[in-house]
Amino acid sequence: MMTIRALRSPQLALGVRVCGRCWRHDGPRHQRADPLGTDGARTEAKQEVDGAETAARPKGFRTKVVEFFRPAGNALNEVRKLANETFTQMKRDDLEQLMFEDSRILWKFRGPEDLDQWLVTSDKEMGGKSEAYLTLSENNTAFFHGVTNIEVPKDGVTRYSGYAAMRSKQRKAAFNRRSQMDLTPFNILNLRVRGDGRSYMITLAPESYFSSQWDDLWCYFFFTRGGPHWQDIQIPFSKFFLTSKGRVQDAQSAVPKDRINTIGITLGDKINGPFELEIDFMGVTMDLTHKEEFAYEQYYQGPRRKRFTKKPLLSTKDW
Amino acid sequence: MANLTRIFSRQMQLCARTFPGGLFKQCRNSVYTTCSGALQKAPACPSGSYRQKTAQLHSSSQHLAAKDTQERNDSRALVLHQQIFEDIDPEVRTKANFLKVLDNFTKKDIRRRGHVEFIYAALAKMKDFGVQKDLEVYNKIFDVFPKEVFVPTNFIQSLYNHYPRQQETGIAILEQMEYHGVMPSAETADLIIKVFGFRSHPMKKFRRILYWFPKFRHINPYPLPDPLPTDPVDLARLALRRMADDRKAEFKIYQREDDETESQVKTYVTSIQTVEQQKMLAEHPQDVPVYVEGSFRLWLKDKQVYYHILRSDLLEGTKEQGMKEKEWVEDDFTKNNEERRRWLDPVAFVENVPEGPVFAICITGSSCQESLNTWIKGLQEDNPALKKIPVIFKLSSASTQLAAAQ
Repeated sequence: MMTIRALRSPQLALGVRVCGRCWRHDGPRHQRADPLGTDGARTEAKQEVDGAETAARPKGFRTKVVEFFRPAGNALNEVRKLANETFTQMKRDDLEQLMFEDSRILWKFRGPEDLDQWLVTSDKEMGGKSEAYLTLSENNTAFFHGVTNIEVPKDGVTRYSGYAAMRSKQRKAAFNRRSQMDLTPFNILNLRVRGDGRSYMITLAPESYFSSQWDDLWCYFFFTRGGPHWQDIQIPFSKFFLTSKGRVQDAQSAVPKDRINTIGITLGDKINGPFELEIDFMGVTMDLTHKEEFAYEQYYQGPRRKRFTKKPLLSTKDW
Repeated sequence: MANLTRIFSRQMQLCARTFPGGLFKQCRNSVYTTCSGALQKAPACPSGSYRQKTAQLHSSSQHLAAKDTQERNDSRALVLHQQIFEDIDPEVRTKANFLKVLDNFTKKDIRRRGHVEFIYAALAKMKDFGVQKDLEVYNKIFDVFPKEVFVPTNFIQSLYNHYPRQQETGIAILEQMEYHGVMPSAETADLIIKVFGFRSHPMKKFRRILYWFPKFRHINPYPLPDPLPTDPVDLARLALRRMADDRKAEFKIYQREDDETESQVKTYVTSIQTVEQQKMLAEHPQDVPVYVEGSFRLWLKDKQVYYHILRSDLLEGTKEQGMKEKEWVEDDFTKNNEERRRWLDPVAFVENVPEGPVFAICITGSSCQESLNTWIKGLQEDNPALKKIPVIFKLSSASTQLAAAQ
């Protein structure tokens, strides 16, 4: 797997981010002139790319030598990472925790370094006027704030607008492989937040193989109370429903907890105005009293299926 | 056949002559333009003989729909459907007038020529008339479609996408209903079946709405009445009850807008305090100041209210507010072993954000210091201990806080 991806785009294996506009495309897929002239969203990654461009200057001999050998150094680094991973897996010193743990903290916001693992986007990317920021609050927790604006950009195509979202960055293993979270031992998603009375949405993006599944998101809503008190929220994974490109799908299934790539929080409640959400931590727990596996019907509406297709032909776990 | 072709080409010429962009562009405009204020008039046509002949054949949607406008103005202007709605004076844009426009269109022509463009124009203008959440109006819009024309009658028709443009329009109506949270009724279903048949895309969309809407209807744990009360005191009561998170919390109105008071500001002052908060305030040391902080923002649906809180810093040795005792099942593995428990269940042991206690929340009409003084005076009567505790005002508007954070 690794080899194939590295062959296809060498910059991938060497950790060069070509696309600064989004979290997913590693290739130069988003590198086009902004059709609307809105300058896109000033995400962190974008600014990095901009900085790299402006810093270009004629190179001396020493720089050239260093740059020539950098790939080798990077590759060595990756090899080291891979060895580390393998070694950690072999040691298995967390076996007891794996067997008996009741909960796990995914993100705890206690300082600026915890915010680096998140990407913030808004409809500015497609010409809208919403703004979103993720900063540190006075209490050293995450403070997701900004202004949503449902004014639709006049490009003749867009029909709805006005969202703000924060999304965890894709975790990477050695050789830039995407690595997934395995949340199978748990069935509840926990949050401690302090909001402003607006309703938000949690999105889970699992790893998938086929291109038609790349936009799959499992979503559920949470409602903030508002006011000065903190609020503990528990959302069972069974409640998450499948959407793709913002549309709820007919054929529903439970979220594949074994391969979650990213988790995000989205706001899009058709209201114009500022929002504030303070987030303390996000975690997962196992609640044995929650028996539900999936909250929605899963009847199949298509043509009758063949008999021996219950097992998936190709599972991402296999590679 | 040759004759027909000739007529057709003539018509195309005419179109090209009247509109620089061609007829197609104009049709598109009627669908996509939402705020074109200018009346789009065609230049006067030369009254040649061919013009009169083709006038009967020229059955463009705009031409027919705009007939009454033409008669009224005594001109041969072509008018977009959009214009029919825009012609209505903004002051009389009501539900009755909206329905009248729909009725006029429906009665004009049994074939309902140009209904697709008309429906898109109507959908775009619903918000102006304040009917975007009205189920009856949506049903009337569905009624604009000619009945039984688009129902597939043989297997080829039902195999392919029968009358795709019309079906898209039907879906657009349902999507707008979905956007505004309007649950379609049985009458809507009857209309859809009459217009498109049961096995059609709008019907599919209808059934999707019918499946998903009830699923999410009651998931909000903090429900609000619809519509929200217009009285600001009622709104404040809703907001404070929601924020206090305690059914026994006492809601009080310290001042009404029409009260005779010595203070200059005529406004309402409402407050909420729980029994626990009263107890905490009574036990608060007298030499440690308490703060009045605000204003903070709370959204109730699409309305904002601003509130202030009375709080103090976290004192050494006192239990943090909001800290709840976590309970867990003591099994053999973790019995008398908190460290191990902490390791296996870290979520139960996330330390609380170090914050002082909140003693009361208030909402006033003006959010000014005068009204907050009234609030503190009222609180002092309910909490005698507060008379001896110094109160410090730390006020800023919600927007400046946001600016500072950025």
